[in-house]
Amino acid sequence: MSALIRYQLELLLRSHRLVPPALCYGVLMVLGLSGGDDPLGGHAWSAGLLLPVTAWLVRCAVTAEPAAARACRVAAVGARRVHRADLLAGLLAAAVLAVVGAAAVLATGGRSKAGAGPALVGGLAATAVCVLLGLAVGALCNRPVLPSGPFGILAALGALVLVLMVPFAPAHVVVRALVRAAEHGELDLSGAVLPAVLAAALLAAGAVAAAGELAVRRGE
Amino acid sequence: MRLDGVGRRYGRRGPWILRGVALAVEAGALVRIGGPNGSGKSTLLRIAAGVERPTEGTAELPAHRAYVPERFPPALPFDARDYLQHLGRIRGLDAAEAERRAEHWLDVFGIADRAGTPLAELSKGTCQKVAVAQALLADADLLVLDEAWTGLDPAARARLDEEAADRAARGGRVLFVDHDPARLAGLTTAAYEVSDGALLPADPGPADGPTVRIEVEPAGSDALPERLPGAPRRTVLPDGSVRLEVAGAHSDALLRALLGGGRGVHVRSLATVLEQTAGAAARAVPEEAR
Repeated sequence: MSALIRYQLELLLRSHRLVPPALCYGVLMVLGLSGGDDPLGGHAWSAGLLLPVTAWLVRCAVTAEPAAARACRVAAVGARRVHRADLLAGLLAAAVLAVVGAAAVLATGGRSKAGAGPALVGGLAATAVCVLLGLAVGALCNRPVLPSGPFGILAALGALVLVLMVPFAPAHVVVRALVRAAEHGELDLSGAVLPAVLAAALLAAGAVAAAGELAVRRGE
Repeated sequence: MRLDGVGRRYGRRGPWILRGVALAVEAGALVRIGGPNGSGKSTLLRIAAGVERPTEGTAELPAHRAYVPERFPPALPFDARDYLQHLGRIRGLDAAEAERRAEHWLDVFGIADRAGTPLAELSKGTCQKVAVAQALLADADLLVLDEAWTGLDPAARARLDEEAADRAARGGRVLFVDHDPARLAGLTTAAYEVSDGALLPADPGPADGPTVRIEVEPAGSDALPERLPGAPRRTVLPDGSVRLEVAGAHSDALLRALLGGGRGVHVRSLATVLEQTAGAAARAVPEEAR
């Protein structure tokens, strides 16, 4: 599995496919962060950005390789492992951005009203929630689940709006909890953040498993 | 490998590309699939390689498969060496072994000097050599070659012929499509034709031709391996030496297997037998080989 992921990551790096989403994230972070603010606000901004950026990275990861080259890997180790590895490569790329983003938030942010510890835990949890949901959206809105490119992009946009805007959607819940805590100083870890992390992890695991099964069933 | 009642179509209302295909490929088989362009040969090979799933029917495939696609894409951002090393790692080799084998195959196909060139800048034939090398890199239970010879130079074609025959002889399974009717003639164990979506048995090509008789003196009683290229007929002679009779096309591979690997086998005589009937006159005993 690690050899498959390494191959895919190197493919993404060498083909410069990662540049547009990474650049997009970087520019919007620079625009959105201002020095001295409560880091919770910065984490909320970063997490909200990482949701579509992760879905984009995952799309890059599952579409970067020409079909015939993928066929060679599928023959060697099977479609399920190849597709899961591609999804995880997208997730890893997003995790790197997330770590860099969190470091930038910590470096530029001031003191948090909620306290340094809860702010860090809440920020990382919100980041994880959004990255995992981005992975789920990317897994379900691309090949092999939605083979048509333009339709997949529209579906992904719709799904992203849903998980970010609809009340009780995990991304909405954590981002709102962070924004509120930045204003009022109290972060609802057990009532909002923890359930959202669990829900996002379950959704992501389910989406990756389903996409892997479908890759086996539908073939190339 | 076994396909049973396999059918394939694209979309719920598309025409059937393949229908009712049954194919069993046992260990040691070298199977040719023929048929005109667009008849569904490539689809059948993709199903055999596990790249595509049949719409109906079942496909039982060995776990380790290697596939050379009909068209290998140069649109990969790797150079030849890196690509082969990655594929070696994916096939479960450790880093050192993957590197060694990548170098080996680059060398065998005479492209070691272009190992660092990006695939996109390689010529079509060189790229095809990389495609073939990735399939030969690790031992697979099933080797699927979809017109893999197309674009290769004569030396590389001969090497691929040899490698395909050798893998079948060592107990692998090889399934191939090629438009040259003489491709692996005499070594092919079975041949089929895809016609109107059905798989029909075909003539596996000319018979084996002359048989080669090799008499060897093994160093010990167990010096001859159980499986030898071409599955030669063995007769133990009264003085303890062994007579091996094998189809002419396999004789080179058999001799290589006998003399390589430091088994201490002594080849006493070598003869071409014109007819396969026992007691036929040997044409010549040209050399004593050691």
